[in-house]
Amino acid sequence: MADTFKLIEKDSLRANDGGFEFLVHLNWYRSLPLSCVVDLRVKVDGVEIDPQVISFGINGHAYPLADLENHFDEFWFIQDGARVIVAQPGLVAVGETHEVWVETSVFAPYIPIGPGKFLTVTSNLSSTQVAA
Amino acid sequence: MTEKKPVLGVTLYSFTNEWVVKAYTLEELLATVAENKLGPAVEVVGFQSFRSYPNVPQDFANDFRKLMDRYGLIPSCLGANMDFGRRPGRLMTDDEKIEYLQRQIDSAVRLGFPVLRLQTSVGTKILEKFVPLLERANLHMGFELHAPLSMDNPEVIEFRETFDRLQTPSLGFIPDFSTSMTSVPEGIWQELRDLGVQEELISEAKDVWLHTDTIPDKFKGIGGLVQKYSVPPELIGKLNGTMTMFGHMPPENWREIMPYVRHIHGKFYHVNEDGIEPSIPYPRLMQVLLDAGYSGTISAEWEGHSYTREPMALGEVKAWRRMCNRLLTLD
Repeated sequence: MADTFKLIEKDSLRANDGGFEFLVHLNWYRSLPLSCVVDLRVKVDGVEIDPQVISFGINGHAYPLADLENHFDEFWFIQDGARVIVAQPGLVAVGETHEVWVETSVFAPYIPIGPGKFLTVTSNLSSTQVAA
Repeated sequence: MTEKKPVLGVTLYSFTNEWVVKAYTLEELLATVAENKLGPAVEVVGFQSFRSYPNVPQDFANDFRKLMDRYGLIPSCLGANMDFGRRPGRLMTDDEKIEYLQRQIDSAVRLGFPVLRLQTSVGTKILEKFVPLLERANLHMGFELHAPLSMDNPEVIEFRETFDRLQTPSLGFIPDFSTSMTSVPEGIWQELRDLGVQEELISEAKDVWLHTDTIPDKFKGIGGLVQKYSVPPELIGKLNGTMTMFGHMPPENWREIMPYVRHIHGKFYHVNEDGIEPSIPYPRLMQVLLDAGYSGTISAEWEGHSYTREPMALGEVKAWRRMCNRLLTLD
């Protein structure tokens, strides 16, 4: 049986001197402009991370979350895991087991549901992983 | 004169569950389609299957054409999108929309697709500006008619009138069988059951779907059930979705738009062991297409991935194909 879709890629948690990162997948059926990622929340062991220290790594770049809306002509390909990069040292170390939780909200920029409003899909998942 | 019949095929979108976990490469997917005799017509959602989309480089397109030739497949329709909400704080201007469309037209031409799918949310006012781009590219644009749109919807009538006024074969429709269903697919209810929704509520929601006509009335009915059963807020969207994603227009209403049809989405959710899709009246729909002498393409469009992540598309598409071969006496 082939793998089934998971919002967080298994065994993707990595620790480093500056903090940690893991891979998150797009919960939609097609690639979307980066500007359609309207929210991304992260918790580690139940504690929410300040969005200001989170960057979004895709296509070989890393952007602060607040900057994603300006990248409306760059796309998150449906098969690619995006790096959720947390610049906060001291929370996750190599070899430790942690519960990582993520919630993503993306909107479909071609499905209007009201003036200036588009269909938005919010998904979350918790995944317990050993940091590599 | 030989009887005209539709040309069957599949949209790779049916394999969404498999594709998002990289169970197939594009070549493996095309090979699978060919080996299982699910072609020859192949539809692709550009933003799903092509990494560089909306752009497609010429060398990639050449390789795609060679693959299609090798496996005896023909391109039917490229699923395009007008992402007019992608800019922060404002919608795209007409000029920006045209630039975005031109890239997708160029990609369709390079890849060899004769039809470009677009959604009606782009509106009719801009269509006049699309026509010269499409005519220059010798490409047809089909607007997707998906539930809750029906043939007598004012928006659909406005599109028809615009096609007539502009007098061009470049514009038409891609109707989807989701417009003419006899019930909401069982998989949708099963997902709600798995999320803890009571059987009594599901039974009443089925009645609302069957016995109310307009979307506002359906939402009103669901709103009543939400109150009665204290449905948690996170499930309300899903319950409302059961009312919008599945239309129940009589198949015979398709007759009036057949001259405008450029391609068809053969939506389905499950074909059972008796060779029947229990929620969609395929025999009646196919009869309407045969009566109209429709000889265009139909894609098998399995959308069970809206309620399950199981990689089960191949079995379902094969069952769809056996059913359609039987109904169209293509065996």
